[in-house]
Amino acid sequence: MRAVLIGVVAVVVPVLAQGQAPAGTGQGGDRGVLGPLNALGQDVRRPPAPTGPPPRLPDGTIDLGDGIWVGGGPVNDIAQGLTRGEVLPLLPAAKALMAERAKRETDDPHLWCMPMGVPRSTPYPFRFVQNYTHKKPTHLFILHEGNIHSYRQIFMDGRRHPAELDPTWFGHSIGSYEKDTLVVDTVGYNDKFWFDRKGTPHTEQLHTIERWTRVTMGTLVNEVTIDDPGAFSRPFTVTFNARLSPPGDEIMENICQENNQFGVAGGHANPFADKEK
Amino acid sequence: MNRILLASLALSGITVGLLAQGRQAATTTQGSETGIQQISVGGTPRISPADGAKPAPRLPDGRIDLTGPWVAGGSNADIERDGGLKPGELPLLPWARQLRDSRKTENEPYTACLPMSVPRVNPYPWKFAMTYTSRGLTHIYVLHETGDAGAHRVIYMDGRTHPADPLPTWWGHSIGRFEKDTLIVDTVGYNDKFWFDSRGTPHTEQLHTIERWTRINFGTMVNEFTLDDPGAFSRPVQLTFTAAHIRPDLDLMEFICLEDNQYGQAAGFTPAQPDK
Repeated sequence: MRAVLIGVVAVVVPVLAQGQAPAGTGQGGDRGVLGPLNALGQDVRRPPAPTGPPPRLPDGTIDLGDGIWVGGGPVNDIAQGLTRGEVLPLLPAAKALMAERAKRETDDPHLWCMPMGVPRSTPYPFRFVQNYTHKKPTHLFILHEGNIHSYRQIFMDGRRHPAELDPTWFGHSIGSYEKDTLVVDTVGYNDKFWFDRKGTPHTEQLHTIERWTRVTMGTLVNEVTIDDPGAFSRPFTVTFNARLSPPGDEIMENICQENNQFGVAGGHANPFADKEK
Repeated sequence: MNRILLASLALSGITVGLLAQGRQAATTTQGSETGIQQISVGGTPRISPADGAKPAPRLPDGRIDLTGPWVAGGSNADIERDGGLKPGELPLLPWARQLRDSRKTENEPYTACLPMSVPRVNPYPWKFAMTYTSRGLTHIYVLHETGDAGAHRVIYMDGRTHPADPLPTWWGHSIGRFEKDTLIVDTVGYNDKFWFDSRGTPHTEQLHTIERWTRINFGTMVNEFTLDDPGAFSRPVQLTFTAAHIRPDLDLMEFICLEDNQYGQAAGFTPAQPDK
């Protein structure tokens, strides 16, 4: 039932659907059949996340792939992941770019079905796929229902980053385990995606280190170190929690570019159309 | 160097999505009608014949490893020819034949970066990502290098059956099982929007497909494909496609079809609007 609701919301109103996790109650007093409506659509009550010990793979590694997760990254504002009282160490140029973006928030590439990059999340589920091969697991994929419904690739075979990288939306990611924590080190990003709806920027110098720790059966903590001397005066760390969805929930098909009512069909000018001219 | 070659392949895919459909680029001449020149996409580096002839590798539990990455193994320019039939052998119902012949390649939803679906492929690599979880092999995902138009296709391996009334989707509802070394994927619940090929071969929501994937050696995987759609075909059809392993040290690259797609609206083409 929940999955159906989410699927519908994702297709019909992608821009509204970017709203932060459904913690809030309805604004303006609108009510749906199941309760108050918020920016996500229907406010759905969910059982608490299970708290038992996380499952393990036959080799002893923590299993991140036995279910689907929601959360684990910024949606509205990456600064929400800072410790209380801390502010983003934005350089002046980055601050100015953010102010410019605030005037045209519909330029967010995410709304145009471009990849959301790292560490951004959506209100929709995602899944870790530890690829099972005749060698040791060599690749880890992260599949998202939301955004472009595609996958991110993490090399687990011990390789290093190439010396010269083609900038891409998801960069070049290498992963390893430190005890029970999956550590993903990524460089080679392009500078196109926004960290959040507020337009927090970065440059191609961005280097992220994600530390994913499944602290209980139902909670996965993502501690991300962001180092980008092109946009920030110092490295900083943000923390976001992901929550396990109930058993039986699956990632649904969501094709952003199909009938995207946000884009040209919604009366918004394509922000990419005039960049090259 | 080969990575650079792949990068340029991906680039040509972005720039001329339609043209990149020509798996056997040299043999197609569809360009003249649309005023676009056919270009060669070169070739994704395949495994050497000697390595390809080696036995198929097995997972620790003895099951065959289907991971890949692979190229081909499905329809592309013309499902009839690609699947091993002679011209005219595909038992299309009259309305379906008429629809196919009236369709123009530039209207294929795939060229507007919508999902290519089953059994379509393009000249870029793809993988069977076989999950490794505490519950065993619960899902197999098909990941195409064409990230958004390839999206990810899910095959449920946990023994579930099809829902009674599936919501029509681009990729349908797929359940898989192994029969000895063959992966059998049964899919229903497709929408009728995607084309089987750039020729425009149609289907309806009654489509039911059965894929039988057999990795006959390290470098080769055969897809024995049953296509059953009483809405568009007079009888079920049996087709055969073959996938080739690419060089094992190569990986899927990032390819976002929708980014700077010079084929779609930017080139003046508007995809067909079946609802209008």
